[in-house]
Amino acid sequence: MRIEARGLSCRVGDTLLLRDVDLAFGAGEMVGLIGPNGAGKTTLLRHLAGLAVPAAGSVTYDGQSLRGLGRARLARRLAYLAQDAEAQWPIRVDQLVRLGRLPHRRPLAGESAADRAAVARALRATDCDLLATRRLDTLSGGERMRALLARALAVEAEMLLADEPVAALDPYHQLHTMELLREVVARGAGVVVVLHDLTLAARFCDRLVLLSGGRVMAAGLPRDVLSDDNLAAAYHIRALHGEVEGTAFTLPWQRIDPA
Amino acid sequence: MTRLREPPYALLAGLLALAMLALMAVSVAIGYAPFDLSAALADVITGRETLPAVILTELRLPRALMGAMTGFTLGLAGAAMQGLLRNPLAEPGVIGVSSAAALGAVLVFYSGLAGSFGLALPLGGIAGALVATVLLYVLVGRGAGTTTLVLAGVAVSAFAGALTALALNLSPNPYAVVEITFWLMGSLTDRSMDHVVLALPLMAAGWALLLSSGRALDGLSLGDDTAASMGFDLPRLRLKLVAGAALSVGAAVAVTGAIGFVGLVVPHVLRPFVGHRPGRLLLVSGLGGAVLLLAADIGVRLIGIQPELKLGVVTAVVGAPFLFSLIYRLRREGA
Repeated sequence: MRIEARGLSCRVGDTLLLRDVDLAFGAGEMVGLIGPNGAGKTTLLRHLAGLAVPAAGSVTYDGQSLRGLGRARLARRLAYLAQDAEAQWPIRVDQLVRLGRLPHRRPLAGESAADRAAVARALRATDCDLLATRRLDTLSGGERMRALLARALAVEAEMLLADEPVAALDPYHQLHTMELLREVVARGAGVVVVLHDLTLAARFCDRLVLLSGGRVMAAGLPRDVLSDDNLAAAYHIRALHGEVEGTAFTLPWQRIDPA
Repeated sequence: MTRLREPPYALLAGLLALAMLALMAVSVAIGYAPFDLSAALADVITGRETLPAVILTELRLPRALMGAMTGFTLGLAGAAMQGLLRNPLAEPGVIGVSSAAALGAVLVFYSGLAGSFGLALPLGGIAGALVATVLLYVLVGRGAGTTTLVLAGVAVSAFAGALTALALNLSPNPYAVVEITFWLMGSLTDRSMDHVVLALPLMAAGWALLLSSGRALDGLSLGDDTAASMGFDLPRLRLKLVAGAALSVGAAVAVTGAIGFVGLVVPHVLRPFVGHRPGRLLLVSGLGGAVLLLAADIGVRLIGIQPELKLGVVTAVVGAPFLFSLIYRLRREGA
């Protein structure tokens, strides 16, 4: 599925959160949305997921609007993992993950074998096998984040939109989650992920979109987007760039005082 | 870790349904007057209009039915509202329909219409609930979120409560005040088959709306955005649940008066037994509500205190300490 934003603007009160954003996201690639706090990353992701009505412009899915496609059909093809995702009731992890199959279930129908297989795959992929029968209120923040990610993976959608899925995780599970998202891409799906960690963004994403003040400041290959000029202008930082084992890395290093 | 092993859902629902039926039978069998149930049944079946037969069909049966229907409504609507608002403190009247239905009935008392025909009172209550629902829709509109809905409910509730107090304040004679106050306390006494026939279609429509929202409530437990991304139309869900609660709770309050705590406590008690899943809670909470209300109504007749204790008083007197113990336990678990 191809998600296309055209002339997308979002306004809350007098504040423009997004201005005239033109972007496209497709299958088989992982795109990182980066930018400083308040740049509009979450707002953009919510618009891409069809969760907000644009003030101007449009979001289309394979050329169809949300209205044309229908929310229920979109839900089978697009999974969304919210920032600070949380479950209100202390349900069990496996039951949380099973919620990911709700878009695929017909009214009144029970779980199919495909549903059960997808849930098992999602639990295994996120290392949640051993947590399956634990209640959510007995998990640590990182474990809970993995369980919520498993819920989104269980949808087995063509597009996965994830808002800061690694924010609460330790380094081991940060790397694990990023590898997991790469596996989702390897299976042919598309991933759009909001990230604060520029090192992870540079290493794991095929493309980056740098947002600043609601505008797209730069979009393209990580090494082009994370140029010194862009980092200085958007983040007011200087980064170290290097190469390990043939892979380029970026490491935020110093603040630059805004002149 | 969970201390309670979760029973199979079908077993839990089946047991509660059996308990409800058993209590309905007990409710039919007991009362103040000496009464031969088998003779009455035989008379009803053979179509003889003897006194026992009339007691059975005109007094005992409607009381048991009304108890089960009202309890089911309160338990179900309580679970649905807690699921919708994602808050264990929500109760069936949170959107204001209970207070509005009570006001409707009070206005019927106040205007003297209550004496003119038998169903004036419940019809007034239902009218009150409908006006409140329309007001709620006008206030909230289609796009508004849950907080706006709760605020609108509080506003409707407060206004209806104020007008009820005003009616009591301006009441020309003290007997009317006593009558209104007693009615407001809630009771199943002297409800006829006409009441059942009037309330059942409204309640059944409300139950259908609430019970069919289970999956959406499960989705909603992950937050508004996630639920919407799972394909649930949240504005439509809110309207559906408000309509369901308004129809069923409005009809219940219109016929029986305000009976508190059932809709708050029952979902609480049963939630751990369904793994805290809001969708699964709906049916069992309805059945649990019926069980609790029937038991309370049997209780007030067995205690035999005269004048008969009002059902709303009993559920509150028993329910509140129960809530204390629940809070105490929650605190100890550190949840």
